[in-house]
Amino acid sequence: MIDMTSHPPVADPVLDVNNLSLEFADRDKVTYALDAVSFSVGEGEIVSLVGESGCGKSVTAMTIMGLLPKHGARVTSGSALLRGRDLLQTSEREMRRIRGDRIGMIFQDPMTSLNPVHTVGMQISETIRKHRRVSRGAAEKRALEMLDLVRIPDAASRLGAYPHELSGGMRQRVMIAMALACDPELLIADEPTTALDVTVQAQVLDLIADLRRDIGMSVILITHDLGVVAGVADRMMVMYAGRIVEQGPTEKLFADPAHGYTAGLMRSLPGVNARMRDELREIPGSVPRLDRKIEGCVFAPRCEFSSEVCLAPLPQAQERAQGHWTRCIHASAVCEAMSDNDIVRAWA
Amino acid sequence: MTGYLVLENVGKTYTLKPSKIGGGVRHVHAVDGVNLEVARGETLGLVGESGCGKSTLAKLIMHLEAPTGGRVVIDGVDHSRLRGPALKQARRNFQMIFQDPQASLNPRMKARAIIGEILGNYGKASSQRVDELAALVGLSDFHLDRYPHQLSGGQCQRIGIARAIALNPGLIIADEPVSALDVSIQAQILNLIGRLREQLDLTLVFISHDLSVVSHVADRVAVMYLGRIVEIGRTESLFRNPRHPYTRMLLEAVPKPTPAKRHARAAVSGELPSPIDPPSGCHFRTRCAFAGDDCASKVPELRPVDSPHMVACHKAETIASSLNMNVA
Ligand SMILES: Nc1ncnc2c1ncn2[C@@H]1O[C@H](COP(=O)(O)OP(=O)(O)O)[C@@H](O)[C@H]1O
Ligand SMILES: Nc1ncnc2c1ncn2[C@@H]1O[C@H](COP(=O)(O)OP(=O)(O)O)[C@@H](O)[C@H]1O
Ligand code: SF4
Ligand code: SF4
Ligand SMILES: [Mg+2]
Ligand SMILES: [Mg+2]
Repeated sequence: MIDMTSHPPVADPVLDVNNLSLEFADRDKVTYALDAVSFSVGEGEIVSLVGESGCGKSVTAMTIMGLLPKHGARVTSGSALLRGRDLLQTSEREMRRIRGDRIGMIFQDPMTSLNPVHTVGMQISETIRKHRRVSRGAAEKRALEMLDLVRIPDAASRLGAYPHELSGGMRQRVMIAMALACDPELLIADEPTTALDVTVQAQVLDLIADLRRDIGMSVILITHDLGVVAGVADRMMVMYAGRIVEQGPTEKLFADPAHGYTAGLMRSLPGVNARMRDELREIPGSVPRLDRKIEGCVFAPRCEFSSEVCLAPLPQAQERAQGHWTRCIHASAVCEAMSDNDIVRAWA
Repeated sequence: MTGYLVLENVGKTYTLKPSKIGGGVRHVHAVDGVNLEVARGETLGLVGESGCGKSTLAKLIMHLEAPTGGRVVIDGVDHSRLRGPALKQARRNFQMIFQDPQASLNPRMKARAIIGEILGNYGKASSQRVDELAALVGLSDFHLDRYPHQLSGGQCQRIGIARAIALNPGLIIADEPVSALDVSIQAQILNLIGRLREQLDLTLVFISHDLSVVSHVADRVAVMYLGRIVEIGRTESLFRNPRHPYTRMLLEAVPKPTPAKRHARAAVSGELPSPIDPPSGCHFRTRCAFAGDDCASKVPELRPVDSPHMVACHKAETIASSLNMNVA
């Protein structure tokens, strides 16, 4: 078995995930959902986990938060240290205390996490009272502060609103307010803007960036959108088929993409590279099934840079530049080929 | 009238039942006074945020909903005048591609049968034609012998496209055809649509909320806001030099994989007003930095600013157009 226990070191990480592997076992089927996932999140950092659907972004978050299904899911290796404490070795009882207190979470669809029959003020103050011994009045006051913090206009009057009375963007703000009510060290945001229109998305992303600046929270931002990553993330991790294939500072990774998959993604984006009506650069084929362990590079069948060595067991991730790590054997060739890409040129 | 597709002052008002809270009957002007012409072989992109009326406009063109005002003419034919078999025959000429490929296909039929069905409906069942269509959209026998749930989203969308072109239509309305697909698959489907458009000389209305996709496929782009077209022009012109304040806001909000937006705040203000009781005059005035008295009292007409670039804004001339916001 190959591990990638190695990953860019971060001083005093809030979260340090090491060599995390996860399997799902149904009656007769095994899904190798995560394979040796390793990354860290520093203090006050926004790191982005980016990749296409099914690559393992959400299950990475679920594993960290201890929210995997009780049956069928098995963590086969690894650790996830929240300020040194391994969340994977923590009891469910303890995890219930940590979630919502030390780790805040928001999801794509706020309606799944909001209770339709309670007012938003009530829901935020209940969350606070679950974790803190404070009076109802104090919790309500804090709820109001939180709605102000996430810039809900006329917050006092919105405390009494029910979720369905709010727009999608306002609901997502309420979710953020709830997630941050107990001052968590880490916010995990799983596709928080995917269901929103672009203008509303822009407002929510601005809010996340401002909150990081103002209250210094650390964020794992999960998205499938390279544009979102480019706009707000300090560092990014590119995921494919259950593995982190490349990670590094956002500027470095866009200016010097060093993995066949990252390159393929950047090339296939419409509206940036290709001229109108020109053919887009396709990534041929589709993502691999995860029902068997893949020894070599998971992207090899679709990669235009692949050669025989890519099918052999992979070496450790290589460091290309400070903090920029890739699992691609032909990283230099990829970088070279990408040097005339419009996105690369814009970042160079 | 030269357009292959012509919309004349088309409107659709939905009437909602009075709500429990009280008040009378309410109306949604989902589509409001739309005038459009799309030339044969042209691709018109239709953009705007959810609820602005894109899908309603698609249904009006497809004759799936009756307009409450105006008329739709396709290749010289006003289908609202046709009935029964004549309408059925005419329908062959315009087809639709949907957003959710999996959900738009019959789950109990194999791909082969799904494609064959539409041919059968017109007495043209032919396994040879099914094979031909499959080849055109890049599906093999392996795929044809499978049910939708056994296929990926991209493969299902290929089936949807095969169905849409099966009867040699002149016009295709694609409503968010790649929105449910991952980028790597999105490029495959966009290329496929592009190739078929050339090969089959299709006129295409391409609806998407994704401006970079639209900037890639469309010859011209129309921007909708609360049921109205607020700007329309050639793709390059509209993306390079947007004239309507809403178009600018939309373009600025698009996340771009370039350093352009890094740590800069998006110039987005306010929230989308309710479509039930939209602002008087210019619908955009509640969010527009340039709004003046006229904007509340007079509905801005779509007018040429830089022909054939048209914009519905009273102040288009006075609003400086120096901002550089290339998306294309
Ligand atoms: N409860 C589950 N049982 C079995 N497989 C699962 C389960 N949850 C997720 N998976 C699988 O794990 C992989 C990663 O899923 P996910 O993390 O949801 O992807 P995404 O990157 O889209 O968030 C997928 O192949 C998915 O089918
Ligand atoms: N059948 C209907 N009854 C009532 N309102 C509708 C109906 N269909 C659409 N609408 C309303 O019309 C407006 C436009 O909807 P739609 O055309 O689906 O927008 P888009 O496709 O741009 O998201 C929305 O406000 C929507 O709620
Ligand atoms: S290791 Fe080989 S197959 Fe994998 S991305 Fe690099 S070149 Fe492509
Ligand atoms: S008409 Fe007035 S409110 Fe509307 S976009 Fe133009 S300046 Fe703004
Ligand atoms: Mg997910
Ligand atoms: Mg729609």
